[in-house]
Amino acid sequence: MTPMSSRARHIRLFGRTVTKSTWFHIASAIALITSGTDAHAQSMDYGAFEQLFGEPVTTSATGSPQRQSDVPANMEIITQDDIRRSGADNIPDILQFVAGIDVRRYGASQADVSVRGYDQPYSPSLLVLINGRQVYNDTFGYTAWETLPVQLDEIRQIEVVKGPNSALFGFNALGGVINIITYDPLADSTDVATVRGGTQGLAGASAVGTLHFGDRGGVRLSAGGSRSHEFPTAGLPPSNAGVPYYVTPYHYAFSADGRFKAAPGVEITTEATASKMRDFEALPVVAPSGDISYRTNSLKFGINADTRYGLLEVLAYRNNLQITQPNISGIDTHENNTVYVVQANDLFKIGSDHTIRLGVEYRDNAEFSGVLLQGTVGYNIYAASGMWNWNVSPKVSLTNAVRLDYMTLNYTGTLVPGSRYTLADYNNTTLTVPSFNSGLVYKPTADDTIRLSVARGIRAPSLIDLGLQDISPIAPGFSVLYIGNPHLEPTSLMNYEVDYDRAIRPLRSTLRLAAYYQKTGDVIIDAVGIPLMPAVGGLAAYSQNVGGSEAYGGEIGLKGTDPSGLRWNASYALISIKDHGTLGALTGYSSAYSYSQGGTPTSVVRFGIGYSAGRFEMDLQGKWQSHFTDFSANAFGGANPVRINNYTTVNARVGYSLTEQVTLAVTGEQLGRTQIFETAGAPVQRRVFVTMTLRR
Amino acid sequence: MKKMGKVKLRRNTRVFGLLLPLGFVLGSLPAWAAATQSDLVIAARALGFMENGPKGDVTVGIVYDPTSNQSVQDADGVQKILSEGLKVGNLTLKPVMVKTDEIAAAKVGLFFLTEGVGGDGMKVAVVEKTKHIPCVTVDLPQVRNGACVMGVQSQPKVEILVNRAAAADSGMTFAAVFRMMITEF
Repeated sequence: MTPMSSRARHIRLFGRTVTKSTWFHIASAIALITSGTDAHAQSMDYGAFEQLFGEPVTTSATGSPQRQSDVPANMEIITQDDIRRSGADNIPDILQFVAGIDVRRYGASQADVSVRGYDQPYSPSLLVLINGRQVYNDTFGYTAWETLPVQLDEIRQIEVVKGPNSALFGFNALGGVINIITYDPLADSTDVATVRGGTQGLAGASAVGTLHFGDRGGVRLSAGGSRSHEFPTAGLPPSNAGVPYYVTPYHYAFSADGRFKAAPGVEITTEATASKMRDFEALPVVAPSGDISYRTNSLKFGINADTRYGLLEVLAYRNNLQITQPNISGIDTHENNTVYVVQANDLFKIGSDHTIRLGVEYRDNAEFSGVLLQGTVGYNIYAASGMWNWNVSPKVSLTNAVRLDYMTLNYTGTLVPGSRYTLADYNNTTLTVPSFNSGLVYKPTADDTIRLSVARGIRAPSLIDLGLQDISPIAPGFSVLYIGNPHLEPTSLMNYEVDYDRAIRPLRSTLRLAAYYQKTGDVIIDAVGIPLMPAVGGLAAYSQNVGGSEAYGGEIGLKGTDPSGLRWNASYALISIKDHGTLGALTGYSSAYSYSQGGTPTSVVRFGIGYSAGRFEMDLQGKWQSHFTDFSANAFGGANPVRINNYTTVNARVGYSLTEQVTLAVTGEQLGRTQIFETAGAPVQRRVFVTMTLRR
Repeated sequence: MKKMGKVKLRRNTRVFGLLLPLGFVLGSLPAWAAATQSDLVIAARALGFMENGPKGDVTVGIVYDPTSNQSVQDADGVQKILSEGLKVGNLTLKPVMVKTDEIAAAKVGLFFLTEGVGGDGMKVAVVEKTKHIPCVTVDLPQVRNGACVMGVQSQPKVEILVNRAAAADSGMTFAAVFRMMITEF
């Protein structure tokens, strides 16, 4: 065999060499899937099923297709109509009006989102996905919303699961899950162009188009971006790298999403995305990052088939994230994170009453940073999961799901002198972590639904939590070290919940009640959030598990629509939090952990009213939130508490259809006040903008 | 005494006067759930998830028992709804009335079994099995006893019922995703 022919047998896939033998195994797997397929299309056609059942459908609760009213979890589904009527130009601004969702805005382009309290800068406990692909950032353990490669016009629905769902999604589905579902490139024709402009120098545009290849396939392409001026930064502490605040944040993104019928009963899905974003950000630790840039790209490939063995699906994707932060020393920090995920699931029914899902997952996660990590830290995860849904009777169903994640940690590079860990500590560390979800749904009448659920969610330490190797020389022979910890335990959360939904037909409304109790253990604080202690050659801080926290609370909400065109909603969310162990003792040092000292607003009231008449569409949404305590960096490497007073914010949108295709809308955000301090970050300014949308 | 008797009579007259129109209203409503346009639309959409299910212009055989007022009324109602051709997705449903003793000879692409047919409904099951012509109904007990493969209900919320044994006997299969969101037995 010549070297040339040898090279020819190796092909680069996702940046890795794939051998002929590997291709044989892939082909064999595809052949196995496609042998014995039923001819019927097997994909989840969200639009067709929503039309059929008169309500949204989802797979985000159990991995099995379900009507929203049947899921064994507390789930809200925000539809495209809701998104349009909100008038918002970003997802966090839409989420802030959902009962039980906490949104903190630290700047024009940084907002952090959590479910049921515990929000903070770089909020780590909410897993965010787009069509099942993780867009949560494993580097720091949070979601940078402006990097998401999705345009609002191409979103079919935003699915919000309140409470843990690690038994389906694995790590980081701790406090909740948000799965953004886009329109189907095969079943839907989405052709929309939008331009937007307004105060703060806002200028944005997006376009979404769909190409169909007969009924054999379709591709949806989207691109968009926007920029604006940052909110005032004058009162903020100096940034941690000493660089000026970047005050004209921008973001843009591209996405191509395809679905093809490969054979009767077999479909292939593909997706490629890229995005870029630059802004300044508040960090969960000391001073804000003055100027930070993100680049993301992803590739996804899936094959699914309706076979006599069930609905088989194999999904593989690669996410890449690059973060750059300038430093006045001239040594900019660069982080490069690449994640490979391969998932396989089989979903099938046994008899008429039992649905089973069996799944396996492999994940390879690696982060390189010459400055922050002095090398590469990563982990491999091998996971197996199962779900059993039993329709006990027409009125009762029981769902149990379990998952076991086995993680092996690895590090290559040079640990900084003074680190108390060795390479062996990294390369011999393994974790075995179980999670589960159990839910009982009881429907005593067609109008009443009662849900009882108990679940255990898990959150992995971020790659920075594990591998940080930051050394800051202060004087000759004296340095400050911030060191990751390879022995961190994953954060776990137990959630016990009772929900009650009732259709109130005379009011054309649905009443939703939820009461829950949560217990969080092994809260993780990264090294920069831990007080420095004397160490060899200076001072050092190490990432730690710092104790636990418990919370109880609930939500009550009423939502309705009327054929006259009127719609309304109102809700109240309550939460009370108490911290335990070291976590409580550290309260006040960082905004990452100060929950029981007022770190979360206790009460939030939301209300909304809207009306459609002819060519007009008018909507108003408001929120009142009680006070809480945030933190702002001080000159001593710690943080000072900042009281955030209670506030009311009101947004409104008026839309007018100039023609059947063209809509003009005016959105006003924060109409009551020109400026509100929603956090210790930049004060949020009133925004007014005009949006013109062309739909084909 | 006479006065009191008059008052009582007037009161009774008023109560009777109030109840009479209500009685007429209730009396004019069928005691059973007649098929509505919503039911038929849901049935048509659900058939879209049947492998090799009906497509295009489909003649619906409205099966009724001429000796049952309930069945005749339901059949008339369905025929009225379909009279102009009910288009749902890629299906256009057009009606033809089929008496229970004409089922075997009916040249249709789909049966709709009306309420009140009773035991004669099983004649549809025979044709379903031999000619692979699907049957839908809003009379859910007819699905449970195997006369029809599929039953639908649009109110108070959408319910779809499929008899697995009847479907298997008739060689009819449904998309797996669809099966996971409906009631099978």
